[in-house]
Amino acid sequence: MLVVRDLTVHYQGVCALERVNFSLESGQLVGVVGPNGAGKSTLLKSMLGLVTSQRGSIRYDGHPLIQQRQKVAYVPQRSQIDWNYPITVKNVVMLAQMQQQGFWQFPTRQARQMVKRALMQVDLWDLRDRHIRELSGGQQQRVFLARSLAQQANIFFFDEPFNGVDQKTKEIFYSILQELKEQNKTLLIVSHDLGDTLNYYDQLILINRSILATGLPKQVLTPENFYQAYGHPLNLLSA
Amino acid sequence: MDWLLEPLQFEFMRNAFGMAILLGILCAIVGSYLVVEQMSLMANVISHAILPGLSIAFFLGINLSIGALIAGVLSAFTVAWIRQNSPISVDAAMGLVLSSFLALGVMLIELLRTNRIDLNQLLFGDILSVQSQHIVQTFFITLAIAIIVIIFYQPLLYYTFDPLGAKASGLPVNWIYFGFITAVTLTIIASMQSVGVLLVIALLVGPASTAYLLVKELHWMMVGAGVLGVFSSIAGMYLSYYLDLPSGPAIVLVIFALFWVAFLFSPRQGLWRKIKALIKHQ
Repeated sequence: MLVVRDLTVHYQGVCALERVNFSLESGQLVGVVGPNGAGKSTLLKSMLGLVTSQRGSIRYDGHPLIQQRQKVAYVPQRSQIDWNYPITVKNVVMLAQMQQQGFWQFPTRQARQMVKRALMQVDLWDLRDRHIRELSGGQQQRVFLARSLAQQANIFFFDEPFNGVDQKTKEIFYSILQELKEQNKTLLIVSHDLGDTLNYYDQLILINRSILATGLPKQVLTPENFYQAYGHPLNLLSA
Repeated sequence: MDWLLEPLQFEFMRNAFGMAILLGILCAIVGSYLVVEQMSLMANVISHAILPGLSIAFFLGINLSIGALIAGVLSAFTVAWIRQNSPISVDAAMGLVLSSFLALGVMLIELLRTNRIDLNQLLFGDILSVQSQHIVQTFFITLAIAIIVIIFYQPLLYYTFDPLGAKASGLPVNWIYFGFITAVTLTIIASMQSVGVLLVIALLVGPASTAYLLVKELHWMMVGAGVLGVFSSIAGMYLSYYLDLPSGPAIVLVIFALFWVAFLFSPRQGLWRKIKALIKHQ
């Protein structure tokens, strides 16, 4: 179990997160929702130590998460990647092997097998030698999904994975998330997509600098909670 | 064939060729990282910011390269520090640091009476006056950086491609940045004598950018940039020898000419291909 206690983050003089408490059960798909600027990405980044937190602790199975980074697969927002970087699809996924075998090892045959399996799972094996620039938005997102799969992590953090992706990518994503759930992985997804996808989650965390509600999707997305977070009435289509 | 061999009968030309080959390789490796990191201007900052270090080292009577290395690394850290602790953008931070270090350097030359430092030589260099000890120094810098890059290729790829992911996975990103900055500064120091601090940017950024337009993997970018860098340096020196041109600028203009060829005719990303596609589309 992943437990976040009292997490407080100040970012360039502004309070981005205040006293955030929640816990994630393995085998559950948990979504973090909230308006723009609510601190959703900051929450992921501070849990991984990418942003310094002022207070709080993040523990996985009783030990600080920061000491167990090899168990975490993190998929950053697509906008944070330079898609013109000279690298092919296959080699992006190959980066995952470093976390498995140590940073200074060259890829082994076993690692190459793992990369192949991950690329087949996201239906990108045929495009493995393409430059990443030559992919669609959905395919680019799937490259990073494949990398996280090849990491063989226990904990998966996804930051806005559905931004500007096609239907096929969404379907592949959800079927893989389902498999990961069955394998008892811990899954946390930041999303501002409030459409029909919300039904997929086992638990939602509604935040706007602090946690406003947690629980089953229908318990969390009540008109009152929604108004408190977004400042306007619930309208799933416009959200 | 004679015209190819003729310049080699002079020792200064042989030295210059040796230096050109080493710098072509060294700048290709370091420059490829600069280009993919979108930090080319950082080389500009460092190349100017070494001046106070040179002046102090000259005053203290120690090796000038040590002073330059310390000042160069310090300038890069000042940029990173300003950027991390204020909303000021990186280009503004670079502008500030470049000019203030340069001003400090000029001031120190005056105050410490170290004006025997030949500013002209420093800014423009002279590859034809390269001594064998410079070649030995550059050889060891090139060898060390090449070995480090081969050993740490994977983590460096991770860090430069996806810095957040690299940090999340526990890579020591601050140490990598320190190593990277040190490598850039050492490259500039090695190039200082031969092409000068103003033209070293061309050697670092030019061949790497040309290769960037032609290949789809970082290691091929380095190999391509190396070939282009060595070729440009040697071609520039032949032009300089036969047409009596200044050697540094001749090298830089060959680099630029090759960039234009790739820019226009790169099979994947050339301008010509885009224009052709546009015409066909209409």
